[in-house]
Amino acid sequence: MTVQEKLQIDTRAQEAMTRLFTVLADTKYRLGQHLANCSWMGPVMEASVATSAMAQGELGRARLLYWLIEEMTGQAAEDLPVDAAVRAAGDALPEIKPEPETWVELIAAIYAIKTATRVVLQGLLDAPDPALHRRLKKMDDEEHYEILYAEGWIEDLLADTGSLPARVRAALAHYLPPTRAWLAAGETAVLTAAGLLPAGFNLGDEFAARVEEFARSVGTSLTV
Amino acid sequence: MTPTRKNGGEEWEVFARNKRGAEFYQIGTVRAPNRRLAQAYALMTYDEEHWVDLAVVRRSDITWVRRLKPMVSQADEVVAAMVEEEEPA
Repeated sequence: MTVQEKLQIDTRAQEAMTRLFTVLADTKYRLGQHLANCSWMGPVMEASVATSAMAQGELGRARLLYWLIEEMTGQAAEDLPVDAAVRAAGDALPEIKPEPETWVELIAAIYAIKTATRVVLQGLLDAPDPALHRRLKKMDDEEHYEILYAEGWIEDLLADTGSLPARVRAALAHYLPPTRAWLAAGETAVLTAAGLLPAGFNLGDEFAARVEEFARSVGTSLTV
Repeated sequence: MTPTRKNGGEEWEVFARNKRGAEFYQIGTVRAPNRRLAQAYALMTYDEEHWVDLAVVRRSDITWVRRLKPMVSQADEVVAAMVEEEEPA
């Protein structure tokens, strides 16, 4: 039985889910490749080890999402006619640089992408239909620790006395609002109607709430 | 030494146990400037085994009841005493 049969969702919901997963999978695939290429950039040994571990995890999670898409649609992910303009441009999340050039930008991108991923995963995990739960739960657990990594770095960079706090704020201002906009403009209504997201759950608002909660925990505010 | 990003922050001791009811073992250390990074580094560095519990403790938060003198500083004391003996009064 395929995921779609288990979920018993209509075509519109299936298309919405496919678009959501495709953009996330593309983003994670690109981020994983980039992390693998720049793990040497870590300022300390632990940071480099963590970057390598994340690269492996990110590529694995992209593969899982592509596999779920394939199971839902019966088509290979690269053949899907979704977000053709976005995929042709080589970008996953609109307005987000696919390959950040500095450590500060890399951390901001990891934070935005992983927080967005976790918002989507937890929305789906909170939904009444448990069909996707088993497959998504492990991914959700892994994302938790990688968000801690990004948050820890942001906390440390914001506490610096030089130019780093301004640079990390600029990088976050570059990544967070477009990510929220993408989530808000996305598939919430269709997925809620299909019972795949809990009633009253809004992906964009949830993303903003998590960023604001983190910012409060480190005694600051962030543009989202 | 004052913890800064340049030296990676403070030392955190990593403790783990591999099954329910087993003893906690100190399995290593990580250097991190804050709790979030210490947690993330511990998981990503020491995740080869399936630990059911994994914890980090800031080394400076450990309250010692009894502690062996570090060997390096003992050696330093011996060398310092020898130098003192050799130097003319």
